[in-house]
Amino acid sequence: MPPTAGKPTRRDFLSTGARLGAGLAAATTGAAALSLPGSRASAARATLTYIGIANLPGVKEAMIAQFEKSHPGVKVTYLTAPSTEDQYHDKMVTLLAAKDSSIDVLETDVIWPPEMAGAGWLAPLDAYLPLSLRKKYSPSMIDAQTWKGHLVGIPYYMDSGHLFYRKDLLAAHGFEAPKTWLELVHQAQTITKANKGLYGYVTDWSKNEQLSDNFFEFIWSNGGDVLDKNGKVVIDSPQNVEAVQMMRDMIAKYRVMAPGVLSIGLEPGRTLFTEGHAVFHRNWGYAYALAQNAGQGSKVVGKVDATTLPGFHAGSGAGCTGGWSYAVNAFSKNRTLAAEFAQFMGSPRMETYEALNGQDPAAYLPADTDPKVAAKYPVYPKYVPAYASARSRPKTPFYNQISTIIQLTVGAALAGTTPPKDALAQAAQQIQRLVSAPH
Amino acid sequence: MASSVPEKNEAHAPAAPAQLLAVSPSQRSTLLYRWGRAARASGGYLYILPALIVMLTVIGYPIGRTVWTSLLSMQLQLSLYGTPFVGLANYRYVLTDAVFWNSLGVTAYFAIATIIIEMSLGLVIALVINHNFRGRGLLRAAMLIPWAIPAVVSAEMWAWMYAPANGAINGLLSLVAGRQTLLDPLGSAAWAMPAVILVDVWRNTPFTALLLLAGLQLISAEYYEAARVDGASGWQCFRHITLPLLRSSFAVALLFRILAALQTFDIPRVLTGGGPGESTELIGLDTYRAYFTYLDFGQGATLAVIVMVLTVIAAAIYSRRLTASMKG
Repeated sequence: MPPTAGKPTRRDFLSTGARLGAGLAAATTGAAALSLPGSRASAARATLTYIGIANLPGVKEAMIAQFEKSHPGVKVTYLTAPSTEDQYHDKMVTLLAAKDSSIDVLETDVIWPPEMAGAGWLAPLDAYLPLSLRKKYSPSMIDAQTWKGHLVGIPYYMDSGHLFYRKDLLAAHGFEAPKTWLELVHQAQTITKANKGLYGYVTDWSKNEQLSDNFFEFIWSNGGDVLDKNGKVVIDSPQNVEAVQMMRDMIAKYRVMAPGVLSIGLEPGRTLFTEGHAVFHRNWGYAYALAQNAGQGSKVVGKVDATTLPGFHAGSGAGCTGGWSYAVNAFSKNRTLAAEFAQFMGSPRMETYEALNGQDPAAYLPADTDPKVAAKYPVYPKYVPAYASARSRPKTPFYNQISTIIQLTVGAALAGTTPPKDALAQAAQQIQRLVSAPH
Repeated sequence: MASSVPEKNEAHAPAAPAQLLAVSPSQRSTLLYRWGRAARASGGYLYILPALIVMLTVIGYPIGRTVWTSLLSMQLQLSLYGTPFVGLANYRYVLTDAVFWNSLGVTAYFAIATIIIEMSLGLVIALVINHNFRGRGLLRAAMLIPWAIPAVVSAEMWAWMYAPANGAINGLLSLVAGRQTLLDPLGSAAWAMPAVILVDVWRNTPFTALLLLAGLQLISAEYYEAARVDGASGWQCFRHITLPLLRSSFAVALLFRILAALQTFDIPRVLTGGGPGESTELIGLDTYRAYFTYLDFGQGATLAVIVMVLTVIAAAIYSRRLTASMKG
């Protein structure tokens, strides 16, 4: 079980002190730090409010019941987040910007910490996930949840872009899972020619965060990036131009993309694949369970497998890291108890429980290869190598602006209105303008 | 109130409000008289003072606050570093932003197209259902359905209908064409905007039709009878009676549509999110994104102020034209 649960440590004070020293969120943080020693007693009849994204019914509730059992007198209210990530983000931001304390524990998306921790809205949780244990969690998730040296979320749901494919169709044509984009194109063309009404590759390149994720996966798999290590804008590099040209060619030249790739969105695209209309599909980990579930309308049960996304060279493919973590509202009136709750929910035991009973792979990697979990979800152990090559999107408080610029410019290139080279030159100019704008 | 009970003399009359008991009737009338004189002397401003206070609170304060915010660097993700006053820096940033100018052009395209189509179509529908025929009441009610459905719901519905591989529109086209069609209007830079405009027209035409119908019903049948007696044709009646008398209803409907077009957000947000690229990036989407996605309240307020100024200019030009033409 988690060691020294709830006891304030020097580390906790140090991190709080550092925040104060930096002139951050002075009043509330200070008050919370002072009330720490007494909070154990006041926890006797405490309540916590926790908001999170939906899992299968009953899973979170069972975990909460266990926490309440081990913390007599504590009552946890569980709220379900709005169904789209954008809406949930905007709701949380509005609440936190108002220093609202009505939510104690919230689940954060992998791209939120720079923005939210940067604003001082998330409490540091360094003491609640010791370094020795932290090593067993997905490194890219831990990296994404670390802001200015502090852990601001306990990762529980590991995700990454994966390539799903119809193993029956590939086998029928004697193909192995593709390692490069050109291999994918070739296989898709061959198989769709032989099967009327089947599409090659379905994914979501409509104007939303998914387009940015796909873009990152293409440029990373060609050795490119948006910002280099020194924060210099390198989005208009020749590798990136080549990557976007490849995306455009897959639509217009090779004609392997399913119709609607620029408009229909993630779930309608996923539906096309699980209803058996496409050979290849890029999606997050959740798609596999749905493909295996005939009750959810899948017509490809037992015919789907997952692999690491292709690259421009064999082995250069890289998925985009996604996933969710438990974070504590810095304005919570019960920060210590809230942190204990986050620690409990993100503990190895609970993550293994959730991986087994829920629908999402765990960020605590041993849970994904746990024999019981692997027996139920044979694909989870296969995800783990993809996690090793998975990468995080740029860590900046201005990520949403950069992502929007990508959606505007790359989207225009994919629609064929701007040549890729010009589109990326525009993107570079706009991102440059953004990062050099005075605060 | 004294007049309703004739037997009672004047001394009984001021019975009601206790605080007035000390004041004799003559004094009271003097006070009222004085207040009235003061109010009149102020040019009537004292009379409208309560309304003015309400207006200032619910309209003046938010506008003033927005204008002030547009002069600050207010980025929530940097809120620990304060919200310094930056003068016109936000305006400089927005006005030199290619995305802003593009969205202004896109908004103009959207506004002009939707207004022309919705006004002419609305007029035709209003003229048709202004006639007496069987089932007119039912038709009027049915006509309002698109307008009664929440915009987000109808946009979502249309998004499914537009979908290329399994959407209803391609399904129907395939039946007609005899082969599978895979048109993807929302994924095409050229066709995304017409597709968004079509949904807006479908949703908002009933509203203009209703406003124009109300105007049509105000026109007395006697004018038409008189014209018929004088041998006027149907077209002449329409041209010289209906159109001139419909002018003010038309003006109101047009003004509403101009304002709504400049603020349109929900339908493109659901259908395209402004894409592909920036082809349906209306200024309403731009403003929302600055506020709630970028958390850049300074930039959001700047865009809001610019839209407000454009709206006020459009409304002012328009209402001046209108009053001028009504006088003439």
